[in-house]
Amino acid sequence: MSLDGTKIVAIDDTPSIRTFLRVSLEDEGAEFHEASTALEGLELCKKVYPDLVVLDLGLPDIDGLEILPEIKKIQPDNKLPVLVLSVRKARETIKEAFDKGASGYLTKPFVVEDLLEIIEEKLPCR
Amino acid sequence: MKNKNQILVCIDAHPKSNVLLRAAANKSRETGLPWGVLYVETPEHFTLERDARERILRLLTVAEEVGANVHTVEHGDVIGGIRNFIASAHDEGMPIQTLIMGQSSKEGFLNELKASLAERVMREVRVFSTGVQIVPLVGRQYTPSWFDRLQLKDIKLKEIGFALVSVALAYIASEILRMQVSGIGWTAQVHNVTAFFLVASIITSLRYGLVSGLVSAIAGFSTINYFYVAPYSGFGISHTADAVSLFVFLSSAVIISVMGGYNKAWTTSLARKEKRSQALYKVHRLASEASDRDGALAILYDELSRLLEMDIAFFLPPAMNPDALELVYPEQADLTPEDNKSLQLCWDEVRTTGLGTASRFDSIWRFEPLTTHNGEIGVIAIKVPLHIRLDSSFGRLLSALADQAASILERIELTKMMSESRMREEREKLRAMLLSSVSHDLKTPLASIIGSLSVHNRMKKAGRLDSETSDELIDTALEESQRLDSFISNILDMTRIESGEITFDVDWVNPEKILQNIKKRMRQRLLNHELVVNNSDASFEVMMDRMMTEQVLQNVVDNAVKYSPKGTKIMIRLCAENNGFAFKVKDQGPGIPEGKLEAVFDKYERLKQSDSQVAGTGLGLAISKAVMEKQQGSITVRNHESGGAEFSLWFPNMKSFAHRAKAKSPEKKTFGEGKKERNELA
Repeated sequence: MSLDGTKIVAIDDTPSIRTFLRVSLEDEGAEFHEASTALEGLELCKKVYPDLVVLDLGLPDIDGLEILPEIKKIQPDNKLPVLVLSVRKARETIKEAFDKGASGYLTKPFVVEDLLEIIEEKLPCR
Repeated sequence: MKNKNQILVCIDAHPKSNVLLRAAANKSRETGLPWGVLYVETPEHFTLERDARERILRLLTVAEEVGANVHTVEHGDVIGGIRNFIASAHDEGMPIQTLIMGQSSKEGFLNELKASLAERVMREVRVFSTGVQIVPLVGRQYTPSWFDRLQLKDIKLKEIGFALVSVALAYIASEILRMQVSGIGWTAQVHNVTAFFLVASIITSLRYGLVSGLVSAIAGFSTINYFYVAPYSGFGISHTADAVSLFVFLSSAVIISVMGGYNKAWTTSLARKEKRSQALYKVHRLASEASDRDGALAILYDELSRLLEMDIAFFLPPAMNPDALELVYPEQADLTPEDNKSLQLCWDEVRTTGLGTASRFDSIWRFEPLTTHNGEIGVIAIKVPLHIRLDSSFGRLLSALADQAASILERIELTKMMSESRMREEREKLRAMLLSSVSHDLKTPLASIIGSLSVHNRMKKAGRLDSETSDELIDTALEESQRLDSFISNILDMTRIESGEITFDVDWVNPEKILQNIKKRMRQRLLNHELVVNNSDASFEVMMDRMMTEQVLQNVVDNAVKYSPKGTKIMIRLCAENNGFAFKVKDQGPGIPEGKLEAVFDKYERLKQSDSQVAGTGLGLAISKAVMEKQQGSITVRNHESGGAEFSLWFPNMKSFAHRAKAKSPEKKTFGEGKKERNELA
């Protein structure tokens, strides 16, 4: 699998999570951008216009579920794929995430293969 | 505003007054107008016998139960009272269309001549276009007998004594007058002595009412007759003039006594009502301050029994059986089986029973249901002693008291329930937050570890792993493992400290050793920060648990690392302070908001924030506080003048030595010196 040239923004407040995301996704050929807060992440998305966003829910400024619809809006027709990565596994939370436009939901912890698999699934045909 | 007519029925103590209520109720049904019952409380009310007063009370209660508006007004005379009431109803836009009054059959010549009360009222209220419907009542209009009016049961010795003393004073005054005046002159003056005795009578009757007034009148009459009227020193009257004079005296004294009696009854009733309303206010104020049901009941019991001068008792359902009723305050009440029937009836049918009500089982207790918007919560019982003079508003007073007591008790009950459910909610919320926080704090480092290692594995297998990336991934995993370890230790420590499972092993420890260990243990954590240790001029030995103190210091340093930017310094100072020793840990971060300086040590504080805080050792500071307190020390934090937060770990017992002269000639010893050196603190 290759993510050559795919622009990915990761929004997560835990540096070590961002570290392994960066290492693995860059290894697959993606162009990786990262932010540690929701607002910073939103700004970053507006700037780099990513192909995919991976989003944590427990962010220090605004909850991921609230910023999710804003991020979706960056592409016309809300088409920007957003993957949610969170330790929250309550059924209602997952449902809410999908209702708000999440393309996929991965509960932490996960192995990198799971992430790559779901990215491949959700990424629009290139 | 559209005028709303109403029907008014005027009742009195006539034994057949219930006929009037029926007439009014029928009239109201026919016309569809609301109806009211009026009782005019005149001074005469207080001279009525107990039966009559109870009857009025009963009639008013019945009327209220069947849906009438009950009004009692106080007025000097019945006609005036009715007229005023009708006038004010007229002014308020609710004119009385029909007034229903009773008229008893006239008996006797004098009564035949006199216009009846109803006829006189009819003339008075004509201006308000109120029609008067007269209902004939069989039987004589009730008038209190002379014996009743005297109220001999209520006479006090003091009042009779006052009457006699006043007559004696009048006699002395008369004798002084006799000494001042010559014999012939005196004869001419004799009629004037009656004036002295009249004054005595007036004062007595105004002060003590009818009976004392009459006693003084009779005593005065006898004294005048015996001493000042021929034949002297004997009863009997020789001259017509004397007879006239004595008759005038006696009749004036009696009239004054009767009027004084009214006046007395009137002022007594006013004073009582005034006292009642003040007492009611006081009861309300006091009982409102009570915080639990028993406290409120005790206050209500004390104040109400003092106010009413009657025994009262509260019956409430026991917690386990909401349908039953039990005496809750005071501990005993002397209810007969009959009384108990009334009590049960009151509770079952939610209405006033017992004395002064239609359904009475010959009880001297009156039972008022304690009702609120949410239903019946109990019964208040009032024992009405036989000598009490019931006024017409007594029933309403008791109802008002019952309502007040009910609302106070209900408020207390609701407050209790609310605080209980709030506490339950709060506990539930905290539990949920603890769970979510713990799962977040456990899972986040795990996610990093699993993620990093899986990436490492994948890249290694693909042969794309260079050593730099490998180091980065392994370091990340290691760092996160340590964080996870410290978090788990913290949770376990907190639990063990809270359950008292950890025993402290305190000894004299050199704090510099602790610092060295910290530096070693936290090397990984301190990669991006510089730890600067600022030794004081002296060196110390401090009474502490070495292991636990290391844990505390590590938590505090860890906290400083977490909240201050990379590349900044973390400064640790060792110093003597307040007769003890302190570690001061200062960072170059943003500091702590003023309002949160205390809260950072609260184990729930971090839980209340979102789960997005810097993950890891959220409980660290709470644990540090518990540990420091177990060692009789303290942990505090302040914002340093130069910016950043400064934590202070203080220990009470220390020895300090001149710098680099360890263990020789202690310079200063604190109160901790000489204490048992090993000390087990649970």
